[in-house]
Amino acid sequence: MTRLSVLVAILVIVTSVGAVSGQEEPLDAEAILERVRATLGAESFHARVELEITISGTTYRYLMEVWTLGEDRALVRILEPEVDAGSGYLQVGDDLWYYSPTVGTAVALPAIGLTQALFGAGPSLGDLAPGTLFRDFDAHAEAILGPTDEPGGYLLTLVPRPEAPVVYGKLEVTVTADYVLSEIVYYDQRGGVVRAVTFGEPLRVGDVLFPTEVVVVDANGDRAIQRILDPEFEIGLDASFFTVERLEGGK
Amino acid sequence: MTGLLRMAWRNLWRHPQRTVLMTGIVAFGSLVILVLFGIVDGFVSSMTAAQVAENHGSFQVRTAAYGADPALENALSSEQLARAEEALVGMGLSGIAPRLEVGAMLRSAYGTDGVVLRGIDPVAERSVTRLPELVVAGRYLAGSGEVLLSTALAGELDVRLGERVVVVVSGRAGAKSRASVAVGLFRPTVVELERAAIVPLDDVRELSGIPGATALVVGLPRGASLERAIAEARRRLVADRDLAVADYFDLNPLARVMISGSTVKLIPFVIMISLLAGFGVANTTLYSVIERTREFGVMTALGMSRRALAGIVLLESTLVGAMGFAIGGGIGYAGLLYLGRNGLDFSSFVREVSGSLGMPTVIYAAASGWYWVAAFSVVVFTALVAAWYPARRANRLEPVTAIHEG
Repeated sequence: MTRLSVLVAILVIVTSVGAVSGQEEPLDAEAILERVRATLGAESFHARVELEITISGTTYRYLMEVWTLGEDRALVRILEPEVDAGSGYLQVGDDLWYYSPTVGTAVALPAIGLTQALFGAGPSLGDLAPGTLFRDFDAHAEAILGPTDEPGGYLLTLVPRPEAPVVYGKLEVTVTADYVLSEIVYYDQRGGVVRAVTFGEPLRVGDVLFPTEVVVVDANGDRAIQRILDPEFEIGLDASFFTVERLEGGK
Repeated sequence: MTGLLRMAWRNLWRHPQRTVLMTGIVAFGSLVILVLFGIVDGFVSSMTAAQVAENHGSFQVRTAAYGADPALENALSSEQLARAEEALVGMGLSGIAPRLEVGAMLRSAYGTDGVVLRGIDPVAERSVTRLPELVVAGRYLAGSGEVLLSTALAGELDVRLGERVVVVVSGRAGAKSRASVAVGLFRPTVVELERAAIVPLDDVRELSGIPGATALVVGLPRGASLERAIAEARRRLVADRDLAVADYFDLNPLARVMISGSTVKLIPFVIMISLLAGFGVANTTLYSVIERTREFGVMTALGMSRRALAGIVLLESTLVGAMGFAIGGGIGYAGLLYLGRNGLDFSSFVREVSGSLGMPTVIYAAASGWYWVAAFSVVVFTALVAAWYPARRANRLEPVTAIHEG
């Protein structure tokens, strides 16, 4: 597994929080994406995360503790397996550090690491980060499912803008009637499915819906399942929490 | 002498099997020596030619620090690049081309790979390398937003012509990415180029935040003296201590170790093969002398001098050596000519173990006439030395004793 992927996976999850809202008039594709964007991004977040990754038939399991602030700051500490326990990652903007108790000091990683594949076999942060959907893709309206369909929701076809740093031919994004991401299917530039990401097991937290399970399935059969345990939102973290000292000290 | 030669020749064919055996031994030795020299020398010249033509150009101008530490901080600034270009004006070059190389990640829908991202001036590059000729599918670079991929890299990332890839560079301003369309696939013979993605210079400058270049690549016209050109470039740049001229060995430091004395290193093998051939000839010749002891006794009793007798033995050995060499050398030389034209494909071996040495995947043998002369000298000399003991024995024969012993 690419350990960095643990971090970016978490970032994706914590930004996928949807506000519960009632049924409204049908919207065009751009407007729906705007609604999705509006529902994203709890300011601060804490949870334990269980990660199960299957690569070439071998499954790896990890348990982590995660703190995030917006989309730019994240601290990840690995709890299990024992061999990795105590190690962790810190991201502050484009800067990234890795800490291992064996090494005893945090090591700065190149920012390019943030673009690596999620789970070592799945999409990158750029693929999944909701912001990318709005920045790099044009939304096409012809494939919208009406909000009155049971169970309701929308199917959007997103095509990358010509200059966008996107390797896919198109994305099909399923959004619930509450404007929460439900599924993203990635297609290559020849029309073949590369991978599918499903957001499930929604948990209602206050007035938001929160998907606690994300399943990434690659076309080659590799799979990653991420489960969020005991999520906490708006816990009052500020930027001073995300320091290299905290990464190294375990405090 | 003509009579002795005729006798020696006739003697040889009194026992054709033995003669064929000795000739075969010498032929084999000649063949091995020739091919060994040709392949080793051809390997060196193939590697040099491929690197110059496809990769590095004849030589390069870089900052003095870049050779020891090829980091972006040590790239040529715009001013240094301009100074270097100005210094080389009027040298009779075939061309100069700025080049900016950075480490990058290349992403497709099916994978990510670390590559060397090489930014080139598509027009100027034509005058220093034959990159456009390596394009085997699609077309050469024409403008921004395009990328040339090696066929190997395109295969690994499952990228087809016309598809978009994403290039990510960790430059001065952090990680930056952009999409480029694969417009062409090239097939290099230099393995290290298989890990290169080639894009227009300005695209790399934008991604890396470096306005200059990592090197100014220099090309020489056919027939120009490389040594003289490098010496002249160094003389012109001697006052500019920031700049340095990098020759082939500076650009391929591992090759220096590999190439130095490569021909000299072959001498032990040549000696071993010569000894092998020599013992084979000596053994057979000695046996033939012992077998003809009675005959030699009769010949000396009839008045032939012992010196002439020894001369016959030596001539027999020389004739065998010459025949063996004519056959082995002829086959070997023809083989070298063939390999010099068609090459030997070492791609699977080279890719696995020697990519970092800048070795080409196809080695073309050299076929210098000097190998032929060298092999001829070695083989004939060996044959003569090998025949010395049997000839000496023939020279010491007492006619009566010999007739009696025989």
